[in-house]
Amino acid sequence: MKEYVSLYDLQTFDKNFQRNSCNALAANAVASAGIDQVAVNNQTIRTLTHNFNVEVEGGTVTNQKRSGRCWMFAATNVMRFEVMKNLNLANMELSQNFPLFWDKLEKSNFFLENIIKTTNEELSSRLLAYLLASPLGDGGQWDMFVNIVNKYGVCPKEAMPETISSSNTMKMDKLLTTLLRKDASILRLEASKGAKTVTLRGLKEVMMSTIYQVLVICLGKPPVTFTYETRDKKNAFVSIKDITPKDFFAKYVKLDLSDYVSIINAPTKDKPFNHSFTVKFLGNIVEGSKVRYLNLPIEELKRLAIAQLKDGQAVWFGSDVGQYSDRVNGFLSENAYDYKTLLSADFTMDKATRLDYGESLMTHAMTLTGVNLEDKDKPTRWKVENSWGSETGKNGFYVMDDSWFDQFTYQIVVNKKYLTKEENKQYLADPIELEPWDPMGSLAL
Amino acid sequence: MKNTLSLDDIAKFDKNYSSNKDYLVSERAVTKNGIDASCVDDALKNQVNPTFSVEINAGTITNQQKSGRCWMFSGLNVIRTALINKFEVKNLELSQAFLQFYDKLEKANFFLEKMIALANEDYDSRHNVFMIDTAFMDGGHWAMFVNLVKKYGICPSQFMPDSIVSSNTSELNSTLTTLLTKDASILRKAVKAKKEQSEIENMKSDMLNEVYRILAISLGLPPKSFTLEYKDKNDKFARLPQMTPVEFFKTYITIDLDDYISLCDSPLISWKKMASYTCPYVNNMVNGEPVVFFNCGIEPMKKAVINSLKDHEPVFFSSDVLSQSIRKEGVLANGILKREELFHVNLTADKQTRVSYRSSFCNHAMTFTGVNLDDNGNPNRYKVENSWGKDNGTDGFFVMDDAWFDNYVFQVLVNKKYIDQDIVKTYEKNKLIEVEPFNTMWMNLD
Repeated sequence: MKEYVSLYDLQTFDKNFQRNSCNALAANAVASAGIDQVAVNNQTIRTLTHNFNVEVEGGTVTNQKRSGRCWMFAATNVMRFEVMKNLNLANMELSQNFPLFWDKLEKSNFFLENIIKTTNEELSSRLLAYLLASPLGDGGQWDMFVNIVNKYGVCPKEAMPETISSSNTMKMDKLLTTLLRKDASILRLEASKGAKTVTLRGLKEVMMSTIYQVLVICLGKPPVTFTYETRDKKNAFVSIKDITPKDFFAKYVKLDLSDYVSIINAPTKDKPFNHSFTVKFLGNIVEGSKVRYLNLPIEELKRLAIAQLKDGQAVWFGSDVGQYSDRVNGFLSENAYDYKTLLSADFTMDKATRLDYGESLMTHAMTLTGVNLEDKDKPTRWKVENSWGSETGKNGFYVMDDSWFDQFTYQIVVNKKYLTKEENKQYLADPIELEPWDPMGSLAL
Repeated sequence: MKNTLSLDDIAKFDKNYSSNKDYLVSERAVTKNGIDASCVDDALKNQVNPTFSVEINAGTITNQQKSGRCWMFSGLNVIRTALINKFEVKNLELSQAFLQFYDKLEKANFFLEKMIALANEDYDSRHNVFMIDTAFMDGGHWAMFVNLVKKYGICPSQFMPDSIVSSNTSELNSTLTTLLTKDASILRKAVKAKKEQSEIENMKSDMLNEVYRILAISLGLPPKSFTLEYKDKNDKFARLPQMTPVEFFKTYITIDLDDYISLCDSPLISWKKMASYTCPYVNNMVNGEPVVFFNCGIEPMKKAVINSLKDHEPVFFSSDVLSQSIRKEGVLANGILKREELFHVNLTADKQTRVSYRSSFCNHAMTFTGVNLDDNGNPNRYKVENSWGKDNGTDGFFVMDDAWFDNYVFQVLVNKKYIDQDIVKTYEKNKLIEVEPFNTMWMNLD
């Protein structure tokens, strides 16, 4: 074959296509029902059941709606279980609008500081293109959530409920992005005229005040103190008066977040196992801690997740949810869709190649809330709490088979007490810095 | 202010916010209704009247649904006008799925050739990432449309209508992404292992054979020939001889697509005025026509559009449809969304800053089908044929005011007979300048 597609090539392809009558059958089915519907593997529904011998107690499923806040939902889902345990509640939800507000404000400051730091770089450089591409998208990481909680605390949903703009962030994000890009142009212009950092920060203050104003108009003002009242499982009245979000976290979530560490699985050549990594220019709070990941083999991620689930605690995890996921039945399984038979094409790639070639990366955070174990603690399937409302999956819950965990799960967050001594040391060692556009620098939406 | 955001800073912002009750009025409106609904300028909306002194008889509105095929829709809308006039029919739609089939196939080949050529660059180099980000998407440009119709022809919609997959492409695109990124990894390894060129070509042929099969299963096989029968405006029956899509194109599309010039207004500092730019990474076809932008500025573009419309020829154009637009009512007017008043902020940045800093970029192709000229012959608004179905705008048509043209239109495709002849001469004399694809002018239209 030549570099271009010739008419002779087309005839050959066409002949090959016509040779197998199954192809015409497939074409007719796909024309009327679409690819996924025709590729559904009906056997899977019989084998992948929503039953688990290890399960943590959960609340009602949440809904991030049209926003990229999965990482906040997954994290507040982990934390609200603690509140429910501590106050003996049947259900409660933590506000996701509250961290959204602070995340946007802090990301704006983080972005403007990065612009001040990089005034010597060309506008057309890869770094500036990266920074300008998404100055304050909704996506995030566990460590970024920890930063917000440490600085601002958490509050129940009733204290700062959703608004139109928190549930559908597109317009607000677009406007804030417009402002920040304009601000970036002003900061760079002033810097090119010789303005010192202190002058630029003076400009930044005015810019940040405007951002604050836009955020309050869109999301409402985060409460400084609030009163939380509800009834517990025994119908007894619970009243917590005039408490700050930070105190609420300290008293009722009561987790020591410094105990929780991010473990990733990136089996590519450039990332040795048993090393820790960080990503340049990734974060939300300037003085907050940088993201830090310890890269371990997948079997180790599973061992850690199982240990934490057995102790009754849910596990925040990051995966590529766009792969082989059936929203109707709530399946995450390569057996959910049989594209290979339908299209007679081989899609097999290993995890490392998928990462290297941009085919897959961590896109979404959810919560592991159960696992089904066979002999010797061998997991067969996992229970997943999602944040897409109760209309998808089984009342909002998904079942993931173990091989999907192998192929498409990239990160878990667990208490460091489950790590071996060696692993704890490796986590704390100087991290290797990754470029901002590295696939492991992706954010969960 | 320091590098970090202190709680004192926040207290200060909070004091500023609480000092003005106007902010609270905005807050109540926005938290309840959302941003855009709280700031539409109704007075301006009522001014942008959908009547036009110059208008073309366009066909029925089309719908690209959940796909990024705007550029094919607009291209086909331009050339179908010629057929509607020639056959004297009320309406005729040309198949977009037909072009889509060959576009995906050609893009797959274009991608694999680039993967071979770039095999010795890191896989996360800017070039490789650009290819992976664009090669499996639906977007495109006018030149890519011309490549397809010249090589494969056109056919009326009835011979290859839209199907589930053609109008909602996400499943197909993710399937092709999986397959072709895998193929890319195999080809890169083969090149690095110094395999013979003929062997690499054979590998590529097998890969494209799989792509062809997936496309045929997803979109159906394109027709090899067809017989068009129709009734004209006067209910008179006609039957054309059986012909191939290429024959149909050559017989009935008498306009020469080589006569069309891509005039653009790019405010990027690095782009010289009256110079032509192209980029080797932006295309769908190996050896296809290059995607070109001739940077002549906004005024000659407007003149050419008006000349063309006066002579009953619609015009393909590209713009930033996401800015200052209200979709449901179909209005593109500078100032239609009073966000500055709503938030008490200054959002003004000139076109150059907006484009350099990526807050505005060319993202959507539509078709000019009319213009309203005032008593002095100056344009104040334009009629725009969109491809978002008839439920948006006035039966699918949008109105654009003149200030929006200045700010958010980037490119028009006009026959050179409607362009100032001095500009045409400069265009023909100037050599194409090849540049990197890393600014927003090279993003595909979808």
